[in-house]
Amino acid sequence: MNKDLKTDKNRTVRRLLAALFWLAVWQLASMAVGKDLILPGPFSVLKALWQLVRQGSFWLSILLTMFRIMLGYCLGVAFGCILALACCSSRTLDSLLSPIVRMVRATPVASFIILAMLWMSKGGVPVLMSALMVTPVVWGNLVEGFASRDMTLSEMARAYQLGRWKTLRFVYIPALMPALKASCLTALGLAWKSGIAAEVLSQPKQAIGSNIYYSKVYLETPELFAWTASVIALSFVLETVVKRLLVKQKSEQGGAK
Amino acid sequence: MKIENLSFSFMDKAVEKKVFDGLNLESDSRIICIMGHSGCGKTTLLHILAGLLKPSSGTVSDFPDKVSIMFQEDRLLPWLNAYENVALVQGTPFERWNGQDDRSSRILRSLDIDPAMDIGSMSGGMKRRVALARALAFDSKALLLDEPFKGMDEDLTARAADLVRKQDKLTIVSTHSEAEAEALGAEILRLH
Repeated sequence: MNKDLKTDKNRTVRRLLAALFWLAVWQLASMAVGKDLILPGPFSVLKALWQLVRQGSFWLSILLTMFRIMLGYCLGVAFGCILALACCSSRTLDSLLSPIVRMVRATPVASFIILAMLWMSKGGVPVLMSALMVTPVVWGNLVEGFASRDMTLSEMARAYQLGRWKTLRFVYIPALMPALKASCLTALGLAWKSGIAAEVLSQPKQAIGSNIYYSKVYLETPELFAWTASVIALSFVLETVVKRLLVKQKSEQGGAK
Repeated sequence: MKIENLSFSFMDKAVEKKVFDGLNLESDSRIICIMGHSGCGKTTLLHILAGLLKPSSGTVSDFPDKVSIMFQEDRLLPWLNAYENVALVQGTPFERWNGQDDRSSRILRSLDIDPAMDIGSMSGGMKRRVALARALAFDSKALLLDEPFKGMDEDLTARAADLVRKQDKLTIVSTHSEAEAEALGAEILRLH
């Protein structure tokens, strides 16, 4: 127990020292450049961030961006699951849908953003982009997981005449859960990046991406860094929350036994 | 049970491999033990009888349609506990383990298995007993058991054999052990 605590403490100290090292490098680089417009130092960014957090619009932008991206993320996970189910249950549907999902996966996000800007309101673009980036990841992981499933368990389900619903619920879904969880975590980062990129280009009202764009236009580089730092912090927070939710779900499943 | 001219072959790297060719077996016994050297086709024969494999040619007659099979591997669902693995194959709506005293839990207890036990924390012999309990719990007309007593000691083998004997079903067991066949009071048919 004491050894574990000591290891944890050592790890925290090592991480803090690493963070301090890179902050020092950043400060030195900024001092070497000598212009906040090109490379603001950590103190200028911290000052800009302090000014931002005191404004109500900052928090509204964060809330609305999170809402848009998480909505897209949830829709993407749901579509990914539905498409995977369709592709795994019918070869015809697989032949029909797989090329489309593969094409979406290979298409640059910028092309989709520009097209979506022609088709929908500014607020809808980040939602659609997040969903479009998440869907193929979830679909791909689930289809791959299904293809590599334990065929002996499928045969067991057939021999014991479990039927479609019981086989899906008790044989396939639990077997696919690790693949779904892994894809949910991978897709979160993608949803976040594509959602912000969509906001930068489509500039909806009250959005982190729009503020990043305005900071660039008005040459407020410390503010641009401050918004970017907020994006990174939010991404870490969301990733931690999603990881905890997935772990909690796993332990609840275990407890149900 | 009557097997006539049964043949089964499969392709292995573009080469046809015959497991058996023109097999004939006939028995009126209720419990039959199929014996023979490894690779002689005991498991394949059980899978054909279960309808999981189609023979290349030949017929099986006087054999029921609805059978329960205990596979050579345990094929248990690791995310369900012992009770849930057994209860799942019953025709009734599935229920999570909640201390029930029903057919599934009674079969498990009679084989010395705690129904609440996780599959992941079981020994090979315990998993074998859960797989046997599942086969016994399934509502079928015949039992197909592939090396059912593997990993069990003498006492457990005797108890499990007793439980199998008490089932009023046509039972076909694949085994290497004459002692197991004797414990079951089975007719021995040899595959060559």
